[in-house]
Amino acid sequence: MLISNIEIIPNKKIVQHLGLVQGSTVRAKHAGKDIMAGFKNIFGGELSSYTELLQESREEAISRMSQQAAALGANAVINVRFSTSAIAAGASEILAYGTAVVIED
Amino acid sequence: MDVLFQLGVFITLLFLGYVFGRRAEARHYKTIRMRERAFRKIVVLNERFPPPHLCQHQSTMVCGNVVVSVDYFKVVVAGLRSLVGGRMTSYESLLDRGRREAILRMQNEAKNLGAEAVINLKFETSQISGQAGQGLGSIEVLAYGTALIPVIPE
Amino acid sequence: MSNYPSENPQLPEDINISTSHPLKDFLVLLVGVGCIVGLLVLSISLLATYLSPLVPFSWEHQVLESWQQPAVDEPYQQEFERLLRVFKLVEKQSELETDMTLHIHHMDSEIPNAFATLGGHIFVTQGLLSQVQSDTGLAMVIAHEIAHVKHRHPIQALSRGVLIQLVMAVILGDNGMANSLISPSGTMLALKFNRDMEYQADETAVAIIKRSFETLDGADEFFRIALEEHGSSGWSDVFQTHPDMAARLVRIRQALK
Repeated sequence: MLISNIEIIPNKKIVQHLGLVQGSTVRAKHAGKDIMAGFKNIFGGELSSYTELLQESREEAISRMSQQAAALGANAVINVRFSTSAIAAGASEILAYGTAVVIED
Repeated sequence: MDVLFQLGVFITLLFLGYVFGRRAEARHYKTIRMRERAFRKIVVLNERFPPPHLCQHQSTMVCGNVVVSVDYFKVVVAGLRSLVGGRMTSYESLLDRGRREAILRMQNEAKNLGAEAVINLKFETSQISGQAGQGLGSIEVLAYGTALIPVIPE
Repeated sequence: MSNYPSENPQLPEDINISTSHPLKDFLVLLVGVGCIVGLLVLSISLLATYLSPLVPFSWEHQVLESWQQPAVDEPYQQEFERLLRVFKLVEKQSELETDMTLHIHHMDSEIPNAFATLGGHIFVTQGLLSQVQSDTGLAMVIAHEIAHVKHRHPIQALSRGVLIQLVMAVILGDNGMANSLISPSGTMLALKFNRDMEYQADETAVAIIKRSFETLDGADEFFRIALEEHGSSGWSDVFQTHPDMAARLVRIRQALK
């Protein structure tokens, strides 16, 4: 599955647009990591546990979006956009959406 | 006895949240599926440029928003989940419902304008906290895009 | 022919939402979190039980040293003297460690009650004095409170409570909903230790009484009256700081024989 965040995929021809697909997930880290992040807040620096959390979520959102696209018979998703929102303390929602297309060389 | 009373209130709320939350969700999904079938003709894409055959159409912005609230059961499950970590399944269906409902309302507005398609769709999700600091109160989902309306020749 | 769709696609439903039943999810989480909280409370309680006796009694005493018994009202003067007399009798036989000092206080309250707190301060209410007529009965109650002091129960209970509250606050943070579920269950577990303390105090109290009096008739007076008035608490045992009165009375009577 090719993913692109522009309207085209270079060197490929879009033969069919199929429609909107989206993938989303809500995840949280366990309380231990939340506490460590709280301490880290005092000193500053990267909160690696949350970086990891968001990265995992983003991957899952993309994989869910790809599943939807595959179900429509697409082989690429173009114009992909992300949207992140904090849903509850320590949990975040990641949404990925784009247009499923069929491409040819 | 005080602890017993607290526990009783808690279990009652949990039970009510579960029963009514499940029912509301099932009903909401039913209407979403029905309306999605009815609005299928209004194509929604998130591409920036209109399809070639709709290039001559008029354009105007349309949006649809919805605020959905969680039930007590979902909040408790999510609260427990946030201690352990992992996927918050209880909120997933809530967000899914919110997003589909927002698109439907946007499509409805487009339909009233006589549009054939909506392009450049964007989503915006925000949290509207019911009780401050008590986790998720409710969420607002906004879907907006550009509706393409055929020009009626004079 | 346009390569754009003429209508929106019909997408499969189960990609963005999980199909597992919410109740199953809830039960798995509840059991998991329950086990973790249980282990945590258990280890904190054991820690408090073993570590707090290491705190010197003099520290405890310093905190509440300035606590003086206010003058007892005229009508209760006689009762107070009786309390002092029985207290002195029991104190002699209590075999406390040398650095422990006891202070007895009379409380002007109609509710029959007695309790021990930090620094060896023991409080007995007027209500209890008028309810328990026999000296052995009163001695048993005082001996029970002295036993609490002897075993360092007040500081154990205090440090356990403070530690549990602290750890819960750190873990739960502002997670309001989990708080309303977990805090009561943590407290309930902690209460089990309170009940064990009561049994231990009862045992020691009986031993003290046996040394102080020749006849032990009426030593269970207060417990008997309490059982008659409130009845057996039965299944709600789990929620009480004190053990079921009926079970306690049986134990005390056995020990008195």
